[in-house]
Amino acid sequence: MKVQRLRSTQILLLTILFLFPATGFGKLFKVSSGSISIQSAINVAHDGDTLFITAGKYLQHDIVVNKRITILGEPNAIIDAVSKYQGFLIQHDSVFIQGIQVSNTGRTAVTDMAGIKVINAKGVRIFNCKLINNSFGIYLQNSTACTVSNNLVQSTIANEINGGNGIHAWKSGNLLINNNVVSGHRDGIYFEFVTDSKILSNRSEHNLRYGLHFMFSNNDAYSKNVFQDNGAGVAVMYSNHVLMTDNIFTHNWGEAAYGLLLKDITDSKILHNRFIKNTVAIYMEGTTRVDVKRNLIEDNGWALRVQASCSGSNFNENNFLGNSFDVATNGTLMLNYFDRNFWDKYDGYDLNKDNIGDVPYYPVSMYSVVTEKIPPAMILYHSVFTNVLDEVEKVLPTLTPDKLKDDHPAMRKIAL
Amino acid sequence: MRYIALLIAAIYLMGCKSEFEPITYGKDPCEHCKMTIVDKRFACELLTEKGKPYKFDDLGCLLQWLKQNSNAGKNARLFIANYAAPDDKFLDAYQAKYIHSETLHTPMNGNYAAFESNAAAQDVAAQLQSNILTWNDLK
Repeated sequence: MKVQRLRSTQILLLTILFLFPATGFGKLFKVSSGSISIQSAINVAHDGDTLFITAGKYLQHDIVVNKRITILGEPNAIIDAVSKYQGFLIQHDSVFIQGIQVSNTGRTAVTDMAGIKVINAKGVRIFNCKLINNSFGIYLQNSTACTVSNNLVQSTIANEINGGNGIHAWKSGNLLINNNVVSGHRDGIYFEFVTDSKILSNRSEHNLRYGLHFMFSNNDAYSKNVFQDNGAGVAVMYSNHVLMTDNIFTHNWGEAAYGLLLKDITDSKILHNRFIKNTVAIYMEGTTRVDVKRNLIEDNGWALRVQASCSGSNFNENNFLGNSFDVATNGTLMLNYFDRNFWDKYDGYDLNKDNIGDVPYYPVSMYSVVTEKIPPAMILYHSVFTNVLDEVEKVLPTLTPDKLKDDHPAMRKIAL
Repeated sequence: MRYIALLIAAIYLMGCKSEFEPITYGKDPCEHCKMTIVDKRFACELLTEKGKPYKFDDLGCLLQWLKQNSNAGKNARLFIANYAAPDDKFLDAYQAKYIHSETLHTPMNGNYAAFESNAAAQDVAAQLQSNILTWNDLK
């Protein structure tokens, strides 16, 4: 009994320590809209102190945080940068900011204006904040080991071309971006020169361009995110060792819209994602050694567009369902391998009942070759004439790359 | 019959126009990097001798594309957005003045901004501590 009691006290202590890690034994400052400004409170605070910002509207801006402090906001504590300035500028390691709302930053061509900007800092944590109608929401620059969790980043000025990104990271490393909801920005989440980072369980939707945009960022992983209704889907470019698992890419429609656009990507993995209702589910150009495995690719215009510049990629155990075109390519030579996928258009047989089709499946239809070369030919899609040509092509392949085939097509949908 | 002839002539003429084609921001993709063009300050366009337009989101992309497609790019006309007035008419890229700075953060890290004249470029050049360049200085 006694042991038990001791344990629960310990647990309580630990909980307190975890809940208020940076508060430590520092002082607590209370700031309200009538009292001194947040900046003056920071100026008199010391490392380890906590600022508690009560509910209210604060017409304050460019608040420089240059000490290891904790900033806690009461619900409805709103910093309004009156469409001219920035919100917080965090320039010290291990700052913890939680529960604050920052609204209405300025928008200029020369400086990237952000609601919360972290500059040259380590171990900064941004939790449960709201960033509403800012040019950039959260902006990490030259920063490492920062965590951005459970924030709402929203802009309603979506049609403005010169808006910024929701969560923007530049030249940073070891970041964790999780459980955020981002909408209405140029790119929802943007990574440029960011390494060894994780993007988990975020929701990025209704952004003007990309839900997620990756450039020159190596050894990163993104999992369990939902990318929906973005202007052009998700782009992963000029990077290597990117792991993409359990994400949902859906409803990205448009002439240049892709569920996932891959350009110049090497040694990466696309596992167990769902691509549903996109103009092109996956577009690949200049990729090397990318494994596409156990994904569901359903109801897209094109399931895959693999340019001739791609090589050494494997497509295994994916389900291809209800896509207008399964695979399109602009070349005849194929250096990528398709094996053991389920194709709903496969009409072969399985005499030995091993659930693997006895004749190969050729996923590039004659018509997808034609439209790849002459896009306006799409107008004839599904006409009797093209259907006849497609059937003839199946018997006597002339246009389609005969090396591009799945020798072991699954007879039944693969359980994912 | 006359109307049909006129119609055919009109379609024919439409196909022949060799003019700068305006960029639809947020819709048109860059020819080189495939990204959707959104930043008005850095967009540019190449018009081939035969009048086919190619659009780019960054001068860096255009220069790369030119290197890889030197045939198609022969005698092409080049247009680039005016950094100081992105909504104005595009500039002739051969005549424009440029500054080069990492702080510009262009979409593909080409990091060039174009201006109408030396005088127009001066302020930004001083602010970003960059020299003013001409077309021949670009790599």
